[in-house]
Amino acid sequence: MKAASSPGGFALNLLIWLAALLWSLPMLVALWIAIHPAAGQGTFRCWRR
Amino acid sequence: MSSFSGSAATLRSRGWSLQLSGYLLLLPALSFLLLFTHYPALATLWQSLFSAARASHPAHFVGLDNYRALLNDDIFMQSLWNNLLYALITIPLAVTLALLMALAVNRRLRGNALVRAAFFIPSLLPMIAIANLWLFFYTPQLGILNSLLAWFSLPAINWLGEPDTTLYCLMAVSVWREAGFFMIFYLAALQQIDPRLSEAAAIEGASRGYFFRRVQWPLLLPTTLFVLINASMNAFRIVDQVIAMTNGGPNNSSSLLLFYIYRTAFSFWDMPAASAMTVVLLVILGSIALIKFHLLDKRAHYQ
Repeated sequence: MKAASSPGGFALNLLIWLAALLWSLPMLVALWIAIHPAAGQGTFRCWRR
Repeated sequence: MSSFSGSAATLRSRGWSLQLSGYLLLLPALSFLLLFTHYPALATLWQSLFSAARASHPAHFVGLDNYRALLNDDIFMQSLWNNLLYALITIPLAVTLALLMALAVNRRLRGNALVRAAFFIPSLLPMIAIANLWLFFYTPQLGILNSLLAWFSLPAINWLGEPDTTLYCLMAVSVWREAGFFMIFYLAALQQIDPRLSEAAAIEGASRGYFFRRVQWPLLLPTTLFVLINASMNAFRIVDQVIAMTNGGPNNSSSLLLFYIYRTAFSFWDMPAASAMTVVLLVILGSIALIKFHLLDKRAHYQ
């Protein structure tokens, strides 16, 4: 088994982190639209009342 | 001799009382199963043999006419084909991604809990929320996918408005939603595997790929069987996503079997036709379960 401290292990860990980031992209986009004043165009207007 | 026959009779009566108590213990669960699962299935089968009741024409027995009508129903055939394609693409993709995710988060990794949460959270979200999230990607003017295409000076695509792309857009959402859920089963199965096996493999100099192929994968086959059956059932049970994202359109290109059954039953009020389609759906699901149990169960290793 390759240890996480080896260069190959580090690259794999980085790849896993990038995959997790990509996987949560739809939720991050929704969050960004929810807090960004210009985006969303009323989708989350109820939050600003 | 008489004492021997007497003891045999006592043993027999004790066996009967044991059997009776066994059946009595089964009775509550069995009655609910019969009432809420088997009776509706039989009632659906029975209803599919009758015509639709109208104000001036009460329902009458028509035999297999509803099934013959299905063969001439273009929308039904298209929905069936769409659903088969949907199952053929989403099931292998979701299961493979789930396995990869489980292998990824099973290793020693900094922030492992966060990575697991990132993979698993989509399966916790309600379908309407998921549809809303993905509309930010697919919307023609504001969507991220079209913004990305614009960066490369490529023409915009109406992802949910063109018959060629709609079904694949729904598939992407399904895979995103389901892979994290199936990952949990694989992760549980991976953590059940005796760590001494990996230690022994490391001592013997086995590569990671060899260890996976010869040790982990055979031990994961029962989980794969379970996940495959669940994924197949989910692929044929999907309706909320279609309603929230496309409503079956454009031109029925994203109409799936259960969505069409729902529309036939509760928009067109043609219950016998909907019942006939439900019977077809039951046959498909039953066949998938039988094939998988017979083929895969023989190759599964139970510890």
